[in-house]
Amino acid sequence: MRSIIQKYMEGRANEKEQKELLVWLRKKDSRVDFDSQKLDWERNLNSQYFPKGGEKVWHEIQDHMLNVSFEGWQHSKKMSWMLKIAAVFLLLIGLSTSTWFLLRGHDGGTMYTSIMADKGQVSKAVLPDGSIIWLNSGSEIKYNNRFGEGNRLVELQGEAYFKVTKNADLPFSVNNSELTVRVFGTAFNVKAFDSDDEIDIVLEEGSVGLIPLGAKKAVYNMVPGQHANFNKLNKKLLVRHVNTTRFTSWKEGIVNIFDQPLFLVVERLENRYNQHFELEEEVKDIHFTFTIKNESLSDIIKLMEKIAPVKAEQKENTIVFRLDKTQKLKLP
Amino acid sequence: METALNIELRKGNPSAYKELFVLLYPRLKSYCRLFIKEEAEVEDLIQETFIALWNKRENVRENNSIESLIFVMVRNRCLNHLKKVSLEQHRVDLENITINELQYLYQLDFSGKEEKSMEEMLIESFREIVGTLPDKMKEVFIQCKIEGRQQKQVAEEMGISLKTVEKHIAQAKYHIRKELIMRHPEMILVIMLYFS
Repeated sequence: MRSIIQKYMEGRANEKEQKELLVWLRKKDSRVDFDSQKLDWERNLNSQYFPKGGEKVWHEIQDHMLNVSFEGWQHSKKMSWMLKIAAVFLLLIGLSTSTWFLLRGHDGGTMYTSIMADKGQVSKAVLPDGSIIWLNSGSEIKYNNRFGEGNRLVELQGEAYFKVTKNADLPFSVNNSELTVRVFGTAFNVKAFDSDDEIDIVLEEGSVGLIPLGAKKAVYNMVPGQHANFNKLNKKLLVRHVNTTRFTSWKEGIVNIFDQPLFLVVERLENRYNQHFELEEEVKDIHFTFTIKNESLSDIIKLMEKIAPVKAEQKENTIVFRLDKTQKLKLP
Repeated sequence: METALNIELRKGNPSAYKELFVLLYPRLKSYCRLFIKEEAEVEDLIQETFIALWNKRENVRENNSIESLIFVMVRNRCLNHLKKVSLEQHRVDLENITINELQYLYQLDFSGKEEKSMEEMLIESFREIVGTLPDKMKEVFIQCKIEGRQQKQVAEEMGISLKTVEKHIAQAKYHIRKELIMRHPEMILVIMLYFS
């Protein structure tokens, strides 16, 4: 019965098994047993477990929750603005000095809002100016309370895709310690993790200018279809034409690995699946090419073991990749 | 354990919704598929249920079973879907509907007891709504749509034109559809929450 209950909980029990379970559950004494086995199943669930085929449905539910929360937050922000204005008017009638103080106090205090995407999650949010952003796993953006009015400045740590609302008077800027991307209504992707030595920008629509730290204006203006790679160490900028979907498809939940060494591949896997990896020296530079859609991590690892002479081993919370010597011998 | 989850659901904590989704999605899906064959339809229905739960999260009580709550929500949505679909069928044969036995497994699991089947509820609510139609319209609808008789024959027997029969059926459908929307599942949900 135990294995049938497990199958049932995971939606894998066939008609015959479901019937068998029903007959059993109808017996008076089965209930307690059933409940405790259900609890066991819940407790033993792997934290990576996600119901098969449920990803799309869950993402839409999550999208709804995020959007509504954000609208609610914006609404409350507007309300507090109105209250502030009302307060200022009230004070103007009586105490002009206090009013001045309040206004100054408001200008002086900068408040930041930040949006984060946890590891293993992609978040979508609408900014106060109507621009839409997709935040990749383990990334964060920050903007201040004048965003949309006095500025359109966001600080990015990690990777995000932007669909920016047009506003020629107020350019949209994405800041990272080393490089600023200045935009006028456009769709583009920025990858700038503090831990990486490189910043990658991919432009899908419109135009963006790249402004390195210390420069007054853009040193390079990108055109659609271009990929710019900025090296933080030697300050070199490399620009080339690419198939942009390869870089932006992560926002659809797709991860593209194209001819990348294993040490970079596991970084992507760590972000996507929130799983820690370790590599043995010999396998670090083995190159992989594959695409992840909704596959589970174990499916991906099985695939990787098939396409290259590597072997994965679970050691407590870490998965270790090592060279599969038996396979290597077969290779020329 | 469930109480702690209920509190987080009430607060609107997305990860509590994720936990609930992970635990329930496979079973809810198997349950819906007993009645609805189209996969996309089932997925929409479950998505809609979770969003409804989130939108009305203030109704989640600490000590009520969240499993039975969400089961009722899904069941009502299935029922409404079936009503709409059967209304579009050429004939709604209320006498010859077979009851899917497996649904009792899900009833036992989620609510702890065997209740009315989906098919019985469908028949009952149909009878009830058809009962509220004006007399002539009711007769035409029963003869044509439930007993499955030819419209032309019914028109001759009742001494009315085929056009009138068609008009009656269209109006009856309109009326029933309106009733279906009025009897929104959320109403049943609120009552359940207060008395369970």
